[in-house]
Amino acid sequence: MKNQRIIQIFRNSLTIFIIGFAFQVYSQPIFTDNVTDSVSITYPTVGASNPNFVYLSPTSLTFKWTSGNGTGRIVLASLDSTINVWPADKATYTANSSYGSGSSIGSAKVLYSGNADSVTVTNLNSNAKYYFWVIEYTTVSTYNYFDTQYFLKTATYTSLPDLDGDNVPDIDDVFPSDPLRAFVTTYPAVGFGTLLFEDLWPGIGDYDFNDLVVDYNYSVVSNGDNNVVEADYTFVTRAIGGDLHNAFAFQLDGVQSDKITTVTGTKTTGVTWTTFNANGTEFDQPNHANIIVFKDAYDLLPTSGGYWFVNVDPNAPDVGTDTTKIHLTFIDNGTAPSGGTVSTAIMDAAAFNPYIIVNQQRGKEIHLANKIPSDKANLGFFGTVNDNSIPGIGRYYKSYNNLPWALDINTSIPYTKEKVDFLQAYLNFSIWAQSNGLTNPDWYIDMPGNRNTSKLIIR
Amino acid sequence: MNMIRFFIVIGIALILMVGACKRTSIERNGEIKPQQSFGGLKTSDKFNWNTNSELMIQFEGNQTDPRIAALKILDDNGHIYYQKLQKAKESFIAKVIIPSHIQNLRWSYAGKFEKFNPKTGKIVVNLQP
Repeated sequence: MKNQRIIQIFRNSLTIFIIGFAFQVYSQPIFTDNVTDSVSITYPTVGASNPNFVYLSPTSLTFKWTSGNGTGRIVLASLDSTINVWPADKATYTANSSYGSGSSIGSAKVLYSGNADSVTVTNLNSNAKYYFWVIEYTTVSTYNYFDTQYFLKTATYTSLPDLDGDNVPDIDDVFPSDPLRAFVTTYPAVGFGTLLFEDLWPGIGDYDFNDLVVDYNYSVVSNGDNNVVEADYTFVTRAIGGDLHNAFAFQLDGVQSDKITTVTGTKTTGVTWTTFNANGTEFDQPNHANIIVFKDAYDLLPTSGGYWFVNVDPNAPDVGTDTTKIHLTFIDNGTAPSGGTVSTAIMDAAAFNPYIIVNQQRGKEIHLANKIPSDKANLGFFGTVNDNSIPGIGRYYKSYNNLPWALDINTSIPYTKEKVDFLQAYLNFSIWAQSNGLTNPDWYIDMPGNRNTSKLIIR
Repeated sequence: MNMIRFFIVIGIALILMVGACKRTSIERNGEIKPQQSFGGLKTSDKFNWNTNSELMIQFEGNQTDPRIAALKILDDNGHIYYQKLQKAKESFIAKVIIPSHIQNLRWSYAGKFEKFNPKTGKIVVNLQP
C-alpha cells in the first residue's frame, strides 16, 4: 500500500533525510514518493522576514514582507489564535485574500500562495487580532513542499471604524460625524461640585464656610489631537453669608489668555476695577487666563426680608439661586487662536483655579489651599495677619495652623447655617482633616453619621 | 462728692468695656461669630484639603498594535473621570484626579476593560492578553 509508508523525518542542519518504505538513505535532501519515482527536493533555507502592515481600513490591510529563498510562499492568517495545523507537503490549497474564502488549515485561512512579497487582505473583522504566517516552499513537479523550520510569524490588530476621519473610533467619538470634536469630559464627572469660601482673609473668619457658596460644573470638548476645542462652565450661586460684595473668578493654570478665542456669558457689566482683552479674558494676566464670572454676588442674589445675608438663615426668605453659564471657545471652527492650541493634558481638573476677589478689591484674592494666585494678586497680603503663604515653596492661602480659607467639594453638598461652625455640621470632617485625608475620605457624602442636618441649609 | 465721682468714673469705664466687648463679638454689620472649633484643627503642612486624590496611569504601548482608541477611566455607572485618544503602540504616563470616595474604577480601551482599586494610587494598563 502506497499510503502505508512509514516516514521518519530527521533534521540535521539544513538537510532532511526521508526514509521511504524502500529504506534507502540519501546524502542529499530527498523525498521518495515511491519505489519507482524518487524526487530530489532542496528545502528553503531562508525564511521570510521584516513583516510590515499598511492599514487601509478597519477591515482591510496590506501585509508586506521580505521573501525568503523558497520558490514561493504561502500566507496564512488566523483570527485570535495561533496556527495549530501545519500545511501538508503536496497538498493543494486554494488561496484567497478575502479572509475566510480560501482553504482552511486548522484555524488558519490561506490568503496567498505565490512568489510575491505582499498581499492585500480584505473581509477582516475590525478591532480584532490576527496572526499571520509566511511559509516558504519549494515547488517540485507542481507539488509544494513546505519548510517547517524557517518561517515568519507575526500578529497585528485591525483598527476601529472612524466615520469622520478624525482618528477617533466611532465607539469613542461623542461626535462621530464631526471631525472637529470628539470627546466631552465633565468635571465633576457627576453633577456639581461645591465651592465654599471664608472671606476675611488674611484674617481668620468664623469657619462656617458660607460667606460665598457656589456650585460648579464644567465640560471640556476636545478633538482627535487631544486639544481643547471649547469649554462650558456652569456656576450656581447658592448663598452669601457675609456682607462683603465679593466677585468670583477662575484662573486656568498654565493656559495663557491668547489661547482662548472668545469668552461669553460673564456677568461683569459695570466693572470698574479691572479691564478685559478683546477675547473676554482679563487684561494684564500674562501667565494664566483669568475669567471674571461675576462682579458682585449680591447682584445675583439680593438680600430679602430685612436680613443681612442671603440663604444662610432658615427663617429668611429663600432667594433661590443664580446660574451663570460661561462658554470658552478655544479652536473656532477648526482655527486655533493666535496663541495656539491647548492640550487636554494641560487643561485638566488641576488647571481649574476658582477664587473670590474680596469686596472687589482686585488684589485681594482668596483661592483654595495651595492654588496659585493670579498675576493681579497683591502679594503684600501674604504672611500678614493669619496667613502663612510662602510663595517660594508653593504654599498659598494657608494659615499658620495650616487651615484654608476655601474648600472644594467634588459633589454638591448642603452648606452650614449662619454662625454654625463647619465641624458641627459635618461630623467626620475633623477626623478626615486631622488624618490628612486618610480617614473618612467620604465625610461629605450623605451617609449615616456624616451630617448633622439641623446645622445645614438643605433646599 | 468723691463717691459720686467714683461711681461716674466706674460707670463710664463699664460702658466703654461693654462697648469694646460688643465690637469684638459683632463684626461686619452684625454677623455674629460663633466659637471656632474648626480653628483648632491640626493638620500636616502637606495636607491640601482636597476631596480628590491623584491616580497615576501608566499605559504600556505595544509596537505591533496599530490601533488608536480612547483610553478611559470610568466608574461602575459609566461616568468618565479621564479620557484621551491614545495610540496603542505608544507608552505614556498621566496623572488623573478622581474623587477620594470612589471605591471602584475601571479602565477601558478599544473594547477591553479591567477593574481596579483606585486606592492603590497607580495602575498599569497593558493590552496584552
